[in-house]
Parts: sequence; C-alpha cells; structure tokens
Amino acid sequence: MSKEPVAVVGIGQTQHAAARRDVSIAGLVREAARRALDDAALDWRDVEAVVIGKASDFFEGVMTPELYLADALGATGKPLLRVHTAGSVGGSTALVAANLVAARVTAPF
Amino acid sequence: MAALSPAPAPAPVPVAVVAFAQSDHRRATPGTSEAELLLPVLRDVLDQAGLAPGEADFTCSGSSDYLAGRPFSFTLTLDAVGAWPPVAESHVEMDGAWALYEAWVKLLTGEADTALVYAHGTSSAGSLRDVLSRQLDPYYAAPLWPDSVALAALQAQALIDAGDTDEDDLARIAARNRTVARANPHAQLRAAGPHGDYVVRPLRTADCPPVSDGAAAVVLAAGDTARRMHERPAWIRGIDHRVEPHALGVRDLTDSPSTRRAAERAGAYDAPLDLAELHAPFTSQEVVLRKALRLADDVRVNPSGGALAANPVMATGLIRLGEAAARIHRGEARRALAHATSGPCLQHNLVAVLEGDSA
Repeated sequence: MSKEPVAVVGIGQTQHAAARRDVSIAGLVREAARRALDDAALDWRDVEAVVIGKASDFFEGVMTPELYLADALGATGKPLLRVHTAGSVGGSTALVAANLVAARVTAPF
Repeated sequence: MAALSPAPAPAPVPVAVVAFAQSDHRRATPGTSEAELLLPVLRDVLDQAGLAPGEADFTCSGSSDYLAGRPFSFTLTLDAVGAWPPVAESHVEMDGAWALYEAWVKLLTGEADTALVYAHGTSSAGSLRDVLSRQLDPYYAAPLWPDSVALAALQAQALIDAGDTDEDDLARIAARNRTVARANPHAQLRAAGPHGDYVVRPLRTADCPPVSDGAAAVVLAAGDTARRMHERPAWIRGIDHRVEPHALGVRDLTDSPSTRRAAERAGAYDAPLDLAELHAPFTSQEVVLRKALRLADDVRVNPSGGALAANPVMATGLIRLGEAAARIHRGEARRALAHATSGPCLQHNLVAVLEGDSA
C-alpha cells in the first residue's frame, strides 16, 4: 500500500517558565493544543484522534494522565493514545500520530 | 475554515494475530524481574511465529511505571526483547491492547510486515486499589484517595438501582467466569468460591478481580506473511477505541457509549459473533458491557475466565485479544470480539473484531 503523505499543519507551545503556577496540568496542555489549533485555523471538532506523549508518570505524580487530560484536549468520544518512550517521546508521539493519519483509521465513515 | 476533502480510503492491508503467549498469572512473583517474567513469554510467541529475536519489523509494548515502582521501567524489559542491533520500537503507558492498536496502525501503513506486541504488570508490588486512585484528577479526586473497588461499587449500585442487575446476578457472573477458568492453565483463580463478604457494598469478594502478576505477547503479521505463519490467522476485521469524560459525575455509569461507538466502528454489529472476551475486572462491569455490545444469549462470554480469573494490570486487555485470537487459531470460533478497558469505571474502551478465513 502506498503511504499517504502527511503534513504538520499547525504548531503550538506553552510559555515556558521554571514553574507555571498559574495553570493546572490540564490548563498547560490545553494552552499548547489551543495554539496549535489556532495556527492551523482548526477547532477541537476538526480533530479525529488525540495522541499524548509524556515520559514517566512520576514527574507529575499522575498515573496514566491521559484519562484526566481527555476533557482538556477535546478527546472525549475519540481515540486517545498515550505514548511513553522516555526521552524520545516527543518524536515518537509525532510518528504515532502521523501513522494514524497515513493509515486513515480514524476518518469519519 | 474550508472543508477538508478526504482522499478515497486505500484498500486496507489485512492484518492478523498469528501467535499468542502468556505467563501463568500469580498473586505475586517475588524475586522475578519484569524482564525475567517476559523472557519465556516472548520466546514462546516468537517460536510460534517462526521469528528470531529482533526479527520482527516493529516492537510495541504496554506497561506502567506506577506498577513497576520506578520511572522508565519499560526500558529494562527491552533486555528480554534483544534490542541490539537497534530495533524499531515504541511503548504506550497503557494496557497492551493499545500497544497492539499502535502496531496494527503501523502495519496498515505498509512500513512493517510483522510486529511483536507485549505487555506486563506486576500488580503485587503495592496496594493496587490505592495505586489506581493515582489515575484520578490530581486536584479534585486523587487527594481523597477513592480506591478502584469503591468506584466500581458506585457503578454496581447504579446498575442495581436502575434494575440492570442484582447481587444474585453478580454472584452468577463471578461463578461462571471462575468455573470456566478451570480449563485455562494460565488463570490464577480456577474455581468458583463463595460470594464472600462485602468489600465495598454492594461488591463482595467474588465480584472483585484477583491481584495478579503476569505478562502476555502476540505477533501480528500482514497479508501473505500472516498466511505463512499460521494456517488459520485471526484476521483483525476492525479495531477502534474511544474515551469518555474523566469526571464520574458527568457519566451515566450504567452505560458505555464509548464501547458502543468503538464496536460500531470495529464492525461488531455487522454479523453474529461466536464469542466475546470482555475486559471486565468487576462482575458489574460485565453487565455494562453485555448491554452496550448487545451480545446475543448464544455468544460465549469469557471462555478464558476473563479478568475475574487473572488480572495482571496492563496485560489483561491484551490477553483478551490473544485469547480470542487463539480460539480462532484452534478452529473453535470463526468470529470473535475482544474488548479492553482503561480508567475508572470503564472510562476508555477498545473493541476488536477477529475472524478466521471462511471454511
């Protein structure tokens, strides 16, 4: 099967600081996601699946935090994956998301 | 925004489960490392598929640092895989059923023809009920330490209040799962015991899963490679998974719309099923899933004994997929459903439909 070309159409990142005491964990990820959607001129409903990359759960003290973050990332009713490949997780997460788009498994009927 | 115009879907590559192996699940495995727990399981599954260590095009695993008790714990299990020379590998901090999903997607892209998928859980290392409370909202719920049995009991009481079940019905579910587990040499609880005292009302001892250490692995293969590896491949006709809101207060705990949506997308309702392997750690959750999946009375549910007979957290869902596939491999079923769950009270659900070739 020929592989579907996949593009990055929006990026977002949070304001980085030594400690972001002004937001919750959910608020922090939502800040980055909202900026990526704005950059792509998309909205939450345009997204078909959500992939979260994060290294060890011990960093924040929340086990499998994708469950708690599902609402903040507009993932409810959608497929949600949590990738953890240690320090490489940022790159691995993009690979998993790109494969989901390339395989078109989550596209609407 | 302008409407996105979806390209026509390319013809899907058929992908099958061609091998499945699991450990004997135990209440505790003191002195055994995760790599030692996995090594015989990986050797078994690779032998079945005729693959040498490192030969699979892709490797993907599922596990939890909170169960292992140390960060980056999955990296240690790679010693059992053999990661030199380097292998293409990924890991989800989820049940291995979702590692299988990631590997399935990888095979659909055509980037890999074979994948090794494995999962393990050493649930015995801490107080599992309390450890799982760390999955909850860290600001509003986790500080109260509501444990997993208490949350399942809320769900069970909601089902009883709605008239969907009663305590006698739950006792029958517990007894049926553990009685059929007698035929499963890997199961931990292999006989029906008394319903027992309340753990958290209305759930009694027998309504709750055992605490288990264990591991499981499958090999996936595409197209003709799958046909070469097994005379009866268990073809994945569809897999989908959906998550629900996290806060229990905004969910109807007697229903599972995420399971229903995943089942629709996986094609579960398109034709009759021979059997279903459901990831229901609590008896009451089998009631929810049977309802959401609209399982007919003649569908065999959990011939392995299910999560009530062995519950190595993070591997239990992958075992459901493996058990369903193994029935097809042995010619005991032609069309089977496998389900996996994650999170409190069935928050996140995965459904797969597996089929053998027509006779």
